[in-house]
Amino acid sequence: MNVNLIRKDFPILEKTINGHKLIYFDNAASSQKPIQVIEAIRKFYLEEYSNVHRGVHTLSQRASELYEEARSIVAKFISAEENEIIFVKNTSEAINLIAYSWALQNLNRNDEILTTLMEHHSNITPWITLSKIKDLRVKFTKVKSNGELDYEDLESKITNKTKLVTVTQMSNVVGTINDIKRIAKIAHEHDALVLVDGAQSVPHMPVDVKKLDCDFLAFSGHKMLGPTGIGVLYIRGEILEKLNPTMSGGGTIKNVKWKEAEKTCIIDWAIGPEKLEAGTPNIGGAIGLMAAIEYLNKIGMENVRKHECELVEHTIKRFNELEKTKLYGPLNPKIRGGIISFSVGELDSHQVALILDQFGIAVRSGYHCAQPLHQILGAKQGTARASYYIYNTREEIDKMIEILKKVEEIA
Amino acid sequence: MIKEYVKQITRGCGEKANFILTLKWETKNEAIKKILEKSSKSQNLGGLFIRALIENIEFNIYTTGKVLIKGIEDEDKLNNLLKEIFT
Repeated sequence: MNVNLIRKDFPILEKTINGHKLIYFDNAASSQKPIQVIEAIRKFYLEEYSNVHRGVHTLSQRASELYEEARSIVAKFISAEENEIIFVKNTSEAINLIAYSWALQNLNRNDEILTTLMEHHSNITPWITLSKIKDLRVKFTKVKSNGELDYEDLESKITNKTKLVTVTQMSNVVGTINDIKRIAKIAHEHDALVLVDGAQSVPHMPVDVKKLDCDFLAFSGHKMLGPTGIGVLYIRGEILEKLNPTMSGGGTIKNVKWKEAEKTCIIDWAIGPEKLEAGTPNIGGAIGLMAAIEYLNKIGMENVRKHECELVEHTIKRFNELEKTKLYGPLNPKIRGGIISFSVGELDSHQVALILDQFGIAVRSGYHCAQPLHQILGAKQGTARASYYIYNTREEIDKMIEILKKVEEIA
Repeated sequence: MIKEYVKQITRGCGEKANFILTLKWETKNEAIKKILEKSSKSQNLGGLFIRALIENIEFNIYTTGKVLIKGIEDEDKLNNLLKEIFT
Protein backbone atom coordinates (compact mmCIF):
# COMPACT_ATOMS: atom_id res chain seq x y z
CA MET A 1 0.00 0.00 0.00
CA ASN A 2 1.59 3.24 -1.19
CA VAL A 3 0.33 6.06 1.03
CA ASN A 4 2.11 8.72 -1.01
CA LEU A 5 0.25 7.59 -4.14
CA ILE A 6 -3.04 7.40 -2.25
CA ARG A 7 -2.58 10.94 -0.94
CA LYS A 8 -2.42 12.24 -4.52
CA ASP A 9 -6.04 11.16 -4.96
CA PHE A 10 -7.12 13.47 -2.13
CA PRO A 11 -6.49 17.07 -3.26
CA ILE A 12 -7.89 18.43 0.03
CA LEU A 13 -4.82 17.05 1.84
CA GLU A 14 -2.70 19.68 0.04
CA LYS A 15 -4.79 22.42 1.62
CA THR A 16 -3.32 24.81 4.16
CA ILE A 17 -5.36 25.31 7.32
CA ASN A 18 -4.41 28.16 9.64
CA GLY A 19 -1.06 28.47 7.90
CA HIS A 20 -0.18 24.78 8.19
CA LYS A 21 -0.60 21.83 5.86
CA LEU A 22 -3.78 20.02 6.79
CA ILE A 23 -3.44 16.92 8.96
CA TYR A 24 -6.84 15.29 8.85
CA PHE A 25 -7.39 13.13 11.93
CA ASP A 26 -11.20 13.30 12.06
CA ASN A 27 -11.95 10.21 10.02
CA ALA A 28 -14.16 8.55 12.61
CA ALA A 29 -16.54 11.49 12.09
CA SER A 30 -16.22 11.52 8.30
CA SER A 31 -13.52 10.67 5.80
CA GLN A 32 -12.19 12.74 2.92
CA LYS A 33 -13.15 11.84 -0.67
CA PRO A 34 -10.80 10.77 -3.46
CA ILE A 35 -11.12 12.32 -6.90
CA GLN A 36 -12.41 8.97 -8.22
CA VAL A 37 -15.52 9.28 -6.02
CA ILE A 38 -16.04 12.96 -6.81
CA GLU A 39 -15.69 12.20 -10.55
CA ALA A 40 -18.15 9.29 -10.42
CA ILE A 41 -20.81 11.52 -8.85
CA ARG A 42 -20.04 14.35 -11.26
CA LYS A 43 -20.29 12.01 -14.26
CA PHE A 44 -23.60 10.62 -13.06
CA TYR A 45 -25.21 14.05 -12.71
CA LEU A 46 -23.68 15.36 -15.94
CA GLU A 47 -24.26 12.36 -18.18
CA GLU A 48 -26.41 9.64 -16.66
CA TYR A 49 -28.94 11.21 -14.32
CA SER A 50 -32.55 10.14 -14.21
CA ASN A 51 -34.89 8.64 -11.65
CA VAL A 52 -34.61 4.89 -11.14
CA HIS A 53 -37.02 1.95 -11.42
CA ARG A 54 -40.09 1.60 -13.60
CA GLY A 55 -38.87 4.09 -16.18
CA VAL A 56 -38.83 2.61 -19.67
CA HIS A 57 -36.71 5.32 -21.26
CA THR A 58 -33.00 4.71 -21.81
CA LEU A 59 -31.65 7.14 -19.25
CA SER A 60 -33.87 5.80 -16.48
CA GLN A 61 -32.76 2.28 -17.28
CA ARG A 62 -29.09 3.37 -17.21
CA ALA A 63 -29.59 5.06 -13.81
CA SER A 64 -31.41 1.93 -12.54
CA GLU A 65 -28.57 -0.26 -13.73
CA LEU A 66 -26.02 1.88 -11.92
CA TYR A 67 -28.10 1.97 -8.74
CA GLU A 68 -28.50 -1.82 -8.73
CA GLU A 69 -24.83 -2.27 -9.61
CA ALA A 70 -24.03 -0.23 -6.50
CA ARG A 71 -26.20 -2.59 -4.47
CA SER A 72 -24.34 -5.53 -5.90
CA ILE A 73 -20.90 -4.01 -5.15
CA VAL A 74 -21.97 -3.24 -1.57
CA ALA A 75 -23.27 -6.78 -1.14
CA LYS A 76 -20.02 -8.33 -2.33
CA PHE A 77 -18.02 -5.99 -0.08
CA ILE A 78 -19.62 -7.50 3.05
CA SER A 79 -20.26 -10.98 1.57
CA ALA A 80 -24.03 -10.55 1.52
CA GLU A 81 -26.59 -11.14 -1.23
CA GLU A 82 -27.84 -8.23 -3.34
CA ASN A 83 -31.40 -8.65 -2.10
CA GLU A 84 -30.20 -8.23 1.51
CA ILE A 85 -28.90 -4.67 0.99
CA ILE A 86 -31.09 -1.68 1.75
CA PHE A 87 -29.86 1.81 0.97
CA VAL A 88 -30.55 4.27 3.77
CA LYS A 89 -29.32 7.72 4.76
CA ASN A 90 -26.72 6.65 7.33
CA THR A 91 -26.04 4.26 10.22
CA SER A 92 -28.44 6.08 12.56
CA GLU A 93 -31.27 5.72 10.08
CA ALA A 94 -30.41 2.06 9.55
CA ILE A 95 -30.61 1.31 13.29
CA ASN A 96 -33.83 3.28 13.61
CA LEU A 97 -35.25 1.37 10.66
CA ILE A 98 -34.69 -1.92 12.50
CA ALA A 99 -36.16 -0.46 15.68
CA TYR A 100 -39.30 0.81 13.96
CA SER A 101 -39.84 -2.08 11.58
CA TRP A 102 -38.49 -5.43 12.81
CA ALA A 103 -38.47 -4.63 16.55
CA LEU A 104 -41.79 -2.79 16.50
CA GLN A 105 -43.45 -5.67 14.64
CA ASN A 106 -41.87 -8.56 16.54
CA LEU A 107 -41.13 -7.52 20.12
CA ASN A 108 -43.67 -7.68 22.90
CA ARG A 109 -44.09 -6.44 26.47
CA ASN A 110 -41.19 -7.43 28.78
CA ASP A 111 -39.02 -8.59 25.92
CA GLU A 112 -35.41 -7.54 26.32
CA ILE A 113 -32.86 -5.78 24.15
CA LEU A 114 -29.24 -6.17 25.17
CA THR A 115 -26.80 -3.47 24.14
CA THR A 116 -23.55 -2.18 25.65
CA LEU A 117 -22.22 0.90 27.40
CA MET A 118 -19.73 1.30 24.56
CA GLU A 119 -22.32 2.36 22.02
CA HIS A 120 -22.72 5.54 20.03
CA HIS A 121 -25.93 7.30 21.09
CA SER A 122 -27.54 6.13 17.84
CA ASN A 123 -27.40 2.54 19.13
CA ILE A 124 -28.88 3.54 22.50
CA THR A 125 -31.57 6.15 21.95
CA PRO A 126 -33.75 4.22 19.43
CA TRP A 127 -33.96 1.30 21.86
CA ILE A 128 -34.75 3.44 24.91
CA THR A 129 -37.44 5.24 22.90
CA LEU A 130 -38.90 2.01 21.55
CA SER A 131 -38.83 0.41 25.01
CA LYS A 132 -41.17 3.13 26.24
CA ILE A 133 -43.60 2.57 23.39
CA LYS A 134 -43.61 -1.25 23.63
CA ASP A 135 -42.83 -1.66 27.35
CA LEU A 136 -39.56 -3.44 26.68
CA ARG A 137 -36.45 -3.67 28.84
CA VAL A 138 -33.08 -2.41 27.61
CA LYS A 139 -30.03 -3.90 29.33
CA PHE A 140 -26.45 -2.67 29.06
CA THR A 141 -23.31 -4.79 28.99
CA LYS A 142 -20.45 -3.37 31.04
CA VAL A 143 -17.20 -2.06 29.61
CA LYS A 144 -13.92 -2.74 31.42
CA SER A 145 -11.69 0.17 32.47
CA ASN A 146 -9.30 -0.64 29.58
CA GLY A 147 -12.14 -0.08 27.09
CA GLU A 148 -12.77 -3.76 26.36
CA LEU A 149 -16.23 -5.24 26.45
CA ASP A 150 -17.01 -7.43 29.45
CA TYR A 151 -18.12 -10.63 27.68
CA GLU A 152 -18.87 -12.41 30.94
CA ASP A 153 -21.23 -9.61 31.87
CA LEU A 154 -22.87 -9.89 28.44
CA GLU A 155 -23.35 -13.61 28.95
CA SER A 156 -24.80 -13.06 32.42
CA LYS A 157 -27.31 -10.51 31.13
CA ILE A 158 -28.69 -12.43 28.20
CA THR A 159 -31.88 -14.38 28.99
CA ASN A 160 -34.57 -16.20 27.09
CA LYS A 161 -36.46 -12.90 27.00
CA THR A 162 -33.62 -11.27 25.05
CA LYS A 163 -34.78 -10.83 21.46
CA LEU A 164 -32.00 -8.61 20.18
CA VAL A 165 -28.34 -8.07 20.98
CA THR A 166 -27.18 -4.81 19.41
CA VAL A 167 -23.51 -3.92 19.55
CA THR A 168 -20.84 -1.91 17.80
CA GLN A 169 -18.07 -3.80 16.04
CA MET A 170 -15.61 -0.97 16.72
CA SER A 171 -15.96 1.68 19.42
CA ASN A 172 -16.04 5.19 17.97
CA VAL A 173 -14.27 6.45 21.11
CA VAL A 174 -11.61 3.94 22.13
CA GLY A 175 -11.40 1.92 18.93
CA THR A 176 -12.00 -1.42 20.65
CA ILE A 177 -12.82 -4.16 18.14
CA ASN A 178 -15.47 -6.41 19.60
CA ASP A 179 -15.64 -10.14 18.97
CA ILE A 180 -18.91 -10.24 17.04
CA LYS A 181 -18.67 -13.97 16.25
CA ARG A 182 -18.52 -14.71 19.97
CA ILE A 183 -21.43 -12.36 20.68
CA ALA A 184 -23.51 -13.82 17.82
CA LYS A 185 -22.93 -17.34 19.13
CA ILE A 186 -24.13 -16.36 22.60
CA ALA A 187 -27.12 -14.45 21.18
CA HIS A 188 -28.22 -17.19 18.80
CA GLU A 189 -28.01 -19.81 21.57
CA HIS A 190 -30.71 -17.74 23.24
CA ASP A 191 -32.68 -17.25 19.99
CA ALA A 192 -31.88 -13.55 19.95
CA LEU A 193 -30.96 -11.73 16.77
CA VAL A 194 -27.78 -9.68 16.39
CA LEU A 195 -27.50 -6.15 15.08
CA VAL A 196 -24.00 -4.86 14.40
CA ASP A 197 -23.19 -1.16 14.24
CA GLY A 198 -20.50 -1.23 11.60
CA ALA A 199 -20.08 2.54 11.22
CA GLN A 200 -16.46 2.40 12.38
CA SER A 201 -15.52 -1.14 11.34
CA VAL A 202 -16.75 -1.51 7.75
CA PRO A 203 -14.61 1.40 6.44
CA HIS A 204 -11.46 0.10 8.13
CA MET A 205 -11.33 -3.70 8.12
CA PRO A 206 -12.66 -6.69 6.21
CA VAL A 207 -16.24 -7.40 7.31
CA ASP A 208 -18.06 -10.56 6.26
CA VAL A 209 -21.64 -10.87 7.48
CA LYS A 210 -21.63 -14.61 6.95
CA LYS A 211 -18.48 -15.15 9.01
CA LEU A 212 -19.75 -12.78 11.70
CA ASP A 213 -23.11 -14.57 11.62
CA CYS A 214 -24.97 -11.32 12.28
CA ASP A 215 -28.59 -10.67 11.33
CA PHE A 216 -28.36 -6.93 10.73
CA LEU A 217 -25.41 -4.69 9.88
CA ALA A 218 -25.53 -0.91 9.60
CA PHE A 219 -22.92 1.45 8.17
CA SER A 220 -22.46 4.86 6.53
CA GLY A 221 -20.95 5.79 3.18
CA HIS A 222 -19.40 9.08 4.24
CA LYS A 223 -16.99 7.42 6.69
CA MET A 224 -15.58 5.21 3.93
CA LEU A 225 -14.64 7.72 1.23
CA GLY A 226 -18.22 7.98 -0.07
CA PRO A 227 -20.60 10.94 -0.05
CA THR A 228 -22.85 11.98 2.83
CA GLY A 229 -26.51 10.95 2.81
CA ILE A 230 -25.97 7.33 1.83
CA GLY A 231 -25.74 4.39 4.20
CA VAL A 232 -26.39 0.68 4.17
CA LEU A 233 -28.53 -1.69 6.14
CA TYR A 234 -27.92 -5.39 5.69
CA ILE A 235 -30.80 -7.63 6.75
CA ARG A 236 -30.45 -11.39 6.60
CA GLY A 237 -32.64 -12.63 3.71
CA GLU A 238 -35.14 -14.74 5.63
CA ILE A 239 -35.75 -11.89 8.12
CA LEU A 240 -36.21 -9.32 5.36
CA GLU A 241 -38.69 -11.60 3.60
CA LYS A 242 -41.07 -11.49 6.58
CA LEU A 243 -40.64 -7.79 7.30
CA ASN A 244 -43.32 -5.24 6.45
CA PRO A 245 -42.31 -1.64 5.85
CA THR A 246 -43.25 1.02 8.37
CA MET A 247 -42.25 3.81 6.00
CA SER A 248 -43.95 3.20 2.71
CA GLY A 249 -44.94 4.80 -0.54
CA GLY A 250 -43.46 4.81 -4.02
CA GLY A 251 -41.20 1.85 -4.65
CA THR A 252 -42.19 -0.15 -1.59
CA ILE A 253 -45.17 -1.83 -3.17
CA LYS A 254 -46.08 -4.38 -5.81
CA ASN A 255 -49.73 -3.31 -6.05
CA VAL A 256 -52.13 -0.88 -4.40
CA LYS A 257 -55.56 -2.06 -5.48
CA TRP A 258 -58.76 -0.10 -4.92
CA LYS A 259 -61.47 -2.43 -3.57
CA GLU A 260 -64.79 -0.82 -4.32
CA ALA A 261 -66.70 -3.17 -2.03
CA GLU A 262 -64.46 -2.43 0.94
CA LYS A 263 -63.94 1.24 0.05
CA THR A 264 -60.21 0.99 0.71
CA CYS A 265 -56.92 0.06 -0.92
CA ILE A 266 -55.30 -3.36 -0.53
CA ILE A 267 -51.50 -3.25 -0.50
CA ASP A 268 -49.15 -5.95 -1.77
CA TRP A 269 -45.66 -5.10 -0.57
CA ALA A 270 -42.67 -5.44 -2.85
CA ILE A 271 -40.55 -8.49 -2.17
CA GLY A 272 -36.94 -7.29 -2.22
CA PRO A 273 -35.00 -4.59 -0.39
CA GLU A 274 -36.92 -1.86 -2.23
CA LYS A 275 -39.86 -2.42 0.10
CA LEU A 276 -37.81 -0.58 2.74
CA GLU A 277 -36.67 2.20 0.38
CA ALA A 278 -39.68 4.50 0.27
CA GLY A 279 -39.65 7.24 -2.35
CA THR A 280 -36.88 8.25 -4.72
CA PRO A 281 -33.62 7.01 -3.21
CA ASN A 282 -30.25 8.77 -3.06
CA ILE A 283 -29.14 7.49 -6.45
CA GLY A 284 -26.09 9.73 -6.74
CA GLY A 285 -25.09 8.76 -3.21
CA ALA A 286 -25.25 5.05 -4.02
CA ILE A 287 -23.13 5.59 -7.14
CA GLY A 288 -20.60 7.59 -5.08
CA LEU A 289 -20.50 4.79 -2.50
CA MET A 290 -19.92 2.25 -5.27
CA ALA A 291 -16.90 4.27 -6.46
CA ALA A 292 -15.63 4.46 -2.87
CA ILE A 293 -15.88 0.69 -2.43
CA GLU A 294 -14.15 0.10 -5.74
CA TYR A 295 -11.36 2.39 -4.52
CA LEU A 296 -11.06 0.51 -1.21
CA ASN A 297 -11.18 -2.85 -3.01
CA LYS A 298 -8.19 -1.83 -5.13
CA ILE A 299 -6.21 -1.15 -1.96
CA GLY A 300 -7.59 -4.24 -0.23
CA MET A 301 -9.29 -4.09 3.17
CA GLU A 302 -6.60 -6.29 4.73
CA ASN A 303 -4.06 -3.63 3.73
CA VAL A 304 -6.25 -0.82 5.11
CA ARG A 305 -6.42 -2.64 8.43
CA LYS A 306 -2.68 -3.38 8.43
CA HIS A 307 -1.81 0.26 7.74
CA GLU A 308 -4.03 1.52 10.56
CA CYS A 309 -2.70 -1.14 12.93
CA GLU A 310 0.81 0.19 12.26
CA LEU A 311 -0.32 3.76 12.85
CA VAL A 312 -1.93 2.75 16.16
CA GLU A 313 1.21 0.88 17.22
CA HIS A 314 3.31 3.94 16.38
CA THR A 315 0.93 6.25 18.26
CA ILE A 316 0.94 4.10 21.39
CA LYS A 317 4.74 4.01 21.31
CA ARG A 318 5.00 7.79 20.90
CA PHE A 319 2.35 8.46 23.56
CA ASN A 320 4.76 6.85 26.06
CA GLU A 321 6.89 9.99 25.70
CA LEU A 322 4.02 12.09 27.02
CA GLU A 323 3.68 12.51 30.77
CA LYS A 324 0.35 14.21 31.31
CA THR A 325 -1.54 12.74 28.38
CA LYS A 326 -3.91 9.91 29.12
CA LEU A 327 -4.74 7.48 26.36
CA TYR A 328 -8.06 5.64 26.65
CA GLY A 329 -8.80 2.16 25.37
CA PRO A 330 -6.92 -1.07 24.71
CA LEU A 331 -3.16 -0.89 24.15
CA ASN A 332 -3.12 -3.96 21.94
CA PRO A 333 -3.34 -2.78 18.28
CA LYS A 334 -4.76 -6.18 17.29
CA ILE A 335 -8.03 -5.38 19.03
CA ARG A 336 -8.00 -1.67 18.31
CA GLY A 337 -8.95 0.29 15.22
CA GLY A 338 -7.31 3.57 14.25
CA ILE A 339 -9.08 5.62 16.89
CA ILE A 340 -7.07 7.37 19.60
CA SER A 341 -8.96 9.23 22.31
CA PHE A 342 -6.98 11.09 24.92
CA SER A 343 -6.96 13.88 27.47
CA VAL A 344 -4.10 16.19 28.46
CA GLY A 345 -3.82 17.01 32.16
CA GLU A 346 -6.76 19.04 33.35
CA LEU A 347 -7.33 20.66 29.98
CA ASP A 348 -10.78 20.56 28.48
CA SER A 349 -10.94 18.35 25.36
CA HIS A 350 -12.07 21.34 23.29
CA GLN A 351 -9.01 23.29 24.44
CA VAL A 352 -6.76 20.55 23.11
CA ALA A 353 -8.65 20.40 19.81
CA LEU A 354 -8.58 24.19 19.41
CA ILE A 355 -4.80 24.26 20.01
CA LEU A 356 -4.21 21.49 17.46
CA ASP A 357 -6.47 23.31 15.00
CA GLN A 358 -4.09 26.25 15.15
CA PHE A 359 -1.47 23.92 13.65
CA GLY A 360 -3.80 22.60 10.94
CA ILE A 361 -4.52 19.35 12.80
CA ALA A 362 -8.18 18.36 12.69
CA VAL A 363 -9.25 16.27 15.69
CA ARG A 364 -12.68 15.99 17.27
CA SER A 365 -13.41 16.80 20.91
CA GLY A 366 -16.20 16.21 23.41
CA TYR A 367 -18.19 13.03 23.99
CA HIS A 368 -18.29 11.87 20.34
CA CYS A 369 -21.96 10.97 20.86
CA ALA A 370 -20.96 8.35 23.45
CA GLN A 371 -21.55 10.05 26.78
CA PRO A 372 -22.13 6.86 28.86
CA LEU A 373 -18.72 5.49 27.82
CA HIS A 374 -17.03 8.76 28.81
CA GLN A 375 -18.71 8.56 32.22
CA ILE A 376 -17.33 5.03 32.69
CA LEU A 377 -13.86 6.07 31.58
CA GLY A 378 -13.97 9.02 33.97
CA ALA A 379 -13.51 11.50 31.13
CA LYS A 380 -16.10 13.98 32.37
CA GLN A 381 -15.01 16.79 30.10
CA GLY A 382 -14.85 14.53 27.07
CA THR A 383 -11.81 13.45 25.11
CA ALA A 384 -9.84 14.68 22.14
CA ARG A 385 -9.96 12.07 19.38
CA ALA A 386 -7.50 11.49 16.55
CA SER A 387 -8.81 8.94 14.07
CA TYR A 388 -6.86 7.64 11.09
CA TYR A 389 -7.42 6.42 7.56
CA ILE A 390 -5.55 5.24 4.49
CA TYR A 391 -3.94 8.63 3.78
CA ASN A 392 -2.52 9.29 7.25
CA THR A 393 1.17 8.88 8.00
CA ARG A 394 3.56 8.35 10.91
CA GLU A 395 5.01 11.80 10.21
CA GLU A 396 1.61 13.37 10.80
CA ILE A 397 1.33 11.53 14.12
CA ASP A 398 4.82 12.72 15.07
CA LYS A 399 3.79 16.31 14.38
CA MET A 400 0.78 15.92 16.67
CA ILE A 401 2.97 14.44 19.41
CA GLU A 402 5.38 17.38 19.22
CA ILE A 403 2.50 19.82 19.69
CA LEU A 404 1.06 17.73 22.52
CA LYS A 405 4.44 18.03 24.27
CA LYS A 406 4.02 21.82 24.16
CA VAL A 407 0.43 21.47 25.38
CA GLU A 408 1.64 19.41 28.34
CA GLU A 409 3.78 22.36 29.45
CA ILE A 410 0.64 24.36 30.19
CA ALA A 411 -1.65 21.51 31.24
CA MET B 1 -23.28 44.39 18.02
CA ILE B 2 -22.61 40.70 18.72
CA LYS B 3 -23.35 39.90 15.06
CA GLU B 4 -20.66 42.34 14.01
CA TYR B 5 -18.02 40.25 15.76
CA VAL B 6 -19.40 36.75 16.29
CA LYS B 7 -20.10 34.34 13.44
CA GLN B 8 -21.25 31.39 15.50
CA ILE B 9 -21.78 30.23 19.08
CA THR B 10 -21.62 26.47 19.72
CA ARG B 11 -22.26 24.69 22.98
CA GLY B 12 -19.48 22.17 23.60
CA CYS B 13 -20.17 18.92 25.41
CA GLY B 14 -18.76 18.12 28.81
CA GLU B 15 -20.03 17.85 32.37
CA LYS B 16 -19.30 21.54 32.87
CA ALA B 17 -20.89 23.70 30.22
CA ASN B 18 -18.69 25.53 27.78
CA PHE B 19 -19.24 27.53 24.63
CA ILE B 20 -17.12 28.00 21.54
CA LEU B 21 -17.35 31.37 19.83
CA THR B 22 -16.20 31.68 16.26
CA LEU B 23 -15.27 35.30 15.66
CA LYS B 24 -15.77 36.92 12.26
CA TRP B 25 -12.40 36.89 10.53
CA GLU B 26 -12.56 40.49 9.33
CA THR B 27 -13.29 41.92 12.84
CA LYS B 28 -11.42 39.23 14.79
CA ASN B 29 -8.57 41.42 16.03
CA GLU B 30 -10.93 44.17 17.17
CA ALA B 31 -13.11 41.60 18.97
CA ILE B 32 -10.09 40.09 20.76
CA LYS B 33 -8.98 43.60 21.77
CA LYS B 34 -12.42 44.26 23.27
CA ILE B 35 -12.34 40.97 25.23
CA LEU B 36 -8.90 41.78 26.61
CA GLU B 37 -9.95 45.33 27.52
CA LYS B 38 -12.84 43.98 29.60
CA SER B 39 -10.74 41.33 31.31
CA SER B 40 -9.43 41.69 34.84
CA LYS B 41 -6.52 39.35 34.14
CA SER B 42 -5.00 37.84 31.03
CA GLN B 43 -2.18 35.43 30.41
CA ASN B 44 -0.46 34.04 27.33
CA LEU B 45 -0.12 30.31 27.86
CA GLY B 46 3.01 29.03 26.16
CA GLY B 47 2.17 30.95 23.00
CA LEU B 48 -0.66 28.45 22.46
CA PHE B 49 -3.57 30.64 23.56
CA ILE B 50 -4.49 33.62 25.71
CA ARG B 51 -6.58 33.10 28.80
CA ALA B 52 -8.58 36.16 29.89
CA LEU B 53 -10.88 36.41 32.90
CA ILE B 54 -14.06 38.48 32.81
CA GLU B 55 -16.28 38.27 35.91
CA ASN B 56 -14.65 34.91 36.76
CA ILE B 57 -15.54 33.57 33.34
CA GLU B 58 -12.66 32.15 31.33
CA PHE B 59 -12.13 33.28 27.75
CA ASN B 60 -9.54 31.08 26.02
CA ILE B 61 -8.58 32.91 22.85
CA TYR B 62 -6.93 31.16 19.89
CA THR B 63 -5.19 32.64 16.84
CA THR B 64 -7.80 31.01 14.62
CA GLY B 65 -10.42 33.44 15.93
CA LYS B 66 -12.08 30.85 18.12
CA VAL B 67 -12.77 31.49 21.78
CA LEU B 68 -13.57 28.77 24.31
CA ILE B 69 -15.66 30.20 27.13
CA LYS B 70 -15.71 28.30 30.42
CA GLY B 71 -17.57 28.99 33.65
CA ILE B 72 -20.94 30.08 32.33
CA GLU B 73 -23.88 27.69 32.15
CA ASP B 74 -26.65 29.77 30.72
CA GLU B 75 -26.80 30.87 27.08
CA ASP B 76 -28.87 33.98 27.87
CA LYS B 77 -26.29 35.09 30.44
CA LEU B 78 -23.56 34.49 27.88
CA ASN B 79 -25.38 36.62 25.32
CA ASN B 80 -25.77 39.44 27.83
CA LEU B 81 -22.09 39.27 28.69
CA LEU B 82 -21.13 39.30 25.02
CA LYS B 83 -23.37 42.32 24.43
CA GLU B 84 -21.56 44.09 27.27
CA ILE B 85 -18.15 43.19 25.80
CA PHE B 86 -18.88 44.10 22.21
CA THR B 87 -20.78 47.37 22.66
